[in-house]
Amino acid sequence: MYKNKSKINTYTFGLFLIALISFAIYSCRVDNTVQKDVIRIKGSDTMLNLSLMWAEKFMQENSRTSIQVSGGGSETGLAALLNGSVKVANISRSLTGNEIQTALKKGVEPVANMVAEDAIVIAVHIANKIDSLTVAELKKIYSGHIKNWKEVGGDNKRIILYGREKSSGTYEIFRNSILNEAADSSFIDYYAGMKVLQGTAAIAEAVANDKFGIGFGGMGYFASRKDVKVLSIKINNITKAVSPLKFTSLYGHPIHPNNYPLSRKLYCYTNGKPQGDVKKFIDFIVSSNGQKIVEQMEFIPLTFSGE
Amino acid sequence: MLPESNNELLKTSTVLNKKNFIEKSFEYFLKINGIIAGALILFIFLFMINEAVQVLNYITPENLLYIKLDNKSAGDIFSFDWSPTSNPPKYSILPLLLGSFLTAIPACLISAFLGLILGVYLSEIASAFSRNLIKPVIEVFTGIPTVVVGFITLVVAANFIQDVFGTVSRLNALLAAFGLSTIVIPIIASLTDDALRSIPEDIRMASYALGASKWQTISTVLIPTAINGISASVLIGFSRAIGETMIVLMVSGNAAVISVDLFGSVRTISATIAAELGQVSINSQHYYALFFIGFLLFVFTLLINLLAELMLDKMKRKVNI
Repeated sequence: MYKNKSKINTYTFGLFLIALISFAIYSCRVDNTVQKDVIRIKGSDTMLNLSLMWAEKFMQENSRTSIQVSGGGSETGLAALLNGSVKVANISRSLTGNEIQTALKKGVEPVANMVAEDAIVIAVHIANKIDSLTVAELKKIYSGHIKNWKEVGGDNKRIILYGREKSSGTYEIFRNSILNEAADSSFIDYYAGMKVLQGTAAIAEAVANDKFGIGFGGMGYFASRKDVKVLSIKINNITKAVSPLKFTSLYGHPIHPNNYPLSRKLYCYTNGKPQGDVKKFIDFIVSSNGQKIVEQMEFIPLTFSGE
Repeated sequence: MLPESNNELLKTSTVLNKKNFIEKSFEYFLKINGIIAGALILFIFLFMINEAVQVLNYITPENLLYIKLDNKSAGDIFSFDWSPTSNPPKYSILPLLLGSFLTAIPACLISAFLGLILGVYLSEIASAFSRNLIKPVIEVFTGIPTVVVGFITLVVAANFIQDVFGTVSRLNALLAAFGLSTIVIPIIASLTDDALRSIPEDIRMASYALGASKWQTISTVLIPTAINGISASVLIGFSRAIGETMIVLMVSGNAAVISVDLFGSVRTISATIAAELGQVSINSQHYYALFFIGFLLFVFTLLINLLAELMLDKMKRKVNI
């Protein structure tokens, strides 16, 4: 038996060696190819799929340039831009004064390049009775004061909250424009029982699977799904409920905080004015080809947003 | 004749010398590497302590447990929240500690039960053929990337658990515990098997000679003899469960609440570090707080592993009498 075992070990070791050698050969092959210019992009998870599409189309036209996109949240992207590991940071909100100060101190001059618009949508399970919520109700739900769907006209069931990590730009915007919309009151935080998921796609998936769940995130992840319902939002009890989906370019309506409180602009931040390949890439994004992709990915293209 | 043999002797001695030289240089090579590896671990430990204690420059020890909030209408409120980006930032480690234990302890209980059964089966009951089949499979199981386990738990087990237990939240501590047990069961089973097999054959034979049945031998002779080894396996499984990150990050729901509800969402120490360390600016309050909870986790697993090591040692001495 022991003899057998040692034989197996020899075989495994042999296999391992073969795998190692083939891997070494493979990596050499890669090293020998022509050096490409690499643009590294990091940041908002909301913009991740969009950026990947841009990168893919851009690389088809410019085979010399290679673009690597990764997510992690807006703040992660900003941190990477500040320590110089990426040339472009995807940020799903505009930087605060403090953040710009910190950047300047580190010798980085963040330049905002607006690339698309987005609406943060509130989504529930497709079987939920609720169709719309007011801003005040949303605020109470996400700060933990309303815990049952009954209180907003739904079933007598516990509300299950889904949200994003603290590094997310969506998290910040939602907190600023819903939880703390009234500037005079004291700071309101998310309910501690909110489930924190990694990325908007995970939230869409969770809401689709959870009959009494509610989640928020960039429109692109919810608009085309058949298993979630995107809620309309009322600014207050008097105004009409407005669905964010109406703001797609098909309707051509300008998106405005007075109609829908959770709209935002998406930015690619660069260190200084974009130059060389990065400039080419940004130019591509704001070109009609790039904006067509924006529309395909269910975001709001710049040209249609008016104002 | 004589000079020739002398010459040969000289030759052998040079060969020996050469051999000796190679031998010695290898010895030194390995020694130096060993020292470097040991030193690295020591430095990691020192670095962690150094970063962790600096948290006290920013946060008072009591604020690591709770924070007192002034509330005009209702007097003082004690908040036990982990919410570093809030205003004021809150750094209570209590919900995270609770979360870690609420996932690791159930996982450990489930795994101890199933892992022990599997270990006893492998060591005492299984035929050589099935043992040779099952043991490698178990060992492969310990090597599955935990992100894969997490994904499968999320996609397959989540709805199942919700249907069976009727839980309100789909992502909960129990689900995380089930996910964790898929990696802890193999550890416990494998180590239990090792512990039982380290018992000399004479003891089994003596038990059978006294007329004991197989079940009696296992339950009254073998398990008590191997109890230290078995406990060590459970402890090692527990330290693996509490340090595990990816599975709990994916399926526990990550809500930092004070609760002992097994069916509610929890946020563990490990998941908090994984989710938040990537975004903090270095040398900030939040950064040191994360290092502090990392240090807690480190000390905790270190102590458990030390205890397990002691138990294994005791077991070895017991068996070798």
